[in-house]
Amino acid sequence: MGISNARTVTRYEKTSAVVDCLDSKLNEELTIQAWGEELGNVLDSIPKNCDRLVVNFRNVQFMSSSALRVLITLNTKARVKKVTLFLCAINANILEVFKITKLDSIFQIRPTENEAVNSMIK
Amino acid sequence: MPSSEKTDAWRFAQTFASVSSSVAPFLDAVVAELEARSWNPGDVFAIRLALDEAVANAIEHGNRRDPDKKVRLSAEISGERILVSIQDEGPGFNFDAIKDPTLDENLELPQGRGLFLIRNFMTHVWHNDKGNIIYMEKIPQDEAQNP
Repeated sequence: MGISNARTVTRYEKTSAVVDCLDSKLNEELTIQAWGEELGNVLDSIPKNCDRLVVNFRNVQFMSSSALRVLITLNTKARVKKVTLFLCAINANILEVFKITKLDSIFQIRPTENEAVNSMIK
Repeated sequence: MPSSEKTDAWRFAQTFASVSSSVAPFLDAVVAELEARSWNPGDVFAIRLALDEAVANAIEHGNRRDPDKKVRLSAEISGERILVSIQDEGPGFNFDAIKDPTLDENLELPQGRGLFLIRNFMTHVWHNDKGNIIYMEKIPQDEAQNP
């Protein structure tokens, strides 16, 4: 069970707000705009006991650089709120995009949600 | 080489309004054709991403979202390669002015990764002198590595 929106579902696990992305493709302008707004809303309303925001990409098969733009902005805002953004369950093709752009060096990326919720911050 | 039995070339050319949703069916058609020809999923992902980024650039930076301006796309797929051109009606773009988004000082800039991804995921990328047409070619990974 979680809080459902059009593009995401949010749950709370331990000290994490966990957001499931519902779309298989994050490339359409309107989709990304709505997705970004929902992620921003989760961050804005994150409970005081949560120090990490975990975005789970298990449903996402494709994303463009517009989605990266949303994540970079979200990461910056999270840092201001002293919340750590974690990304998890990213498929191999999309992970390659993070590696090529070296964005894997600024995001906390974990293979699974469990590791994102429980792992140490690198 | 993709293990396809389809040896005939597939060609497509069409002009679209400067709206991403109008171009999406073309991109889906390219992906379907590549899959029908058994291109490996990693290459199909790379091509889809490059096309998506190039179309977004044409609409956003080339045509400035002017609904009266068009984007012209053409593609040819054969067993050995895909060749795509994307033309906008803008004043032209300086492809050499793009900052390297992987430098430390640029890593957290939200923008500026589209062309970088195109250049990394396609085998060859070039453009016309004016800078309003981008050409992209992808040769399947095994072909490119073992010509």
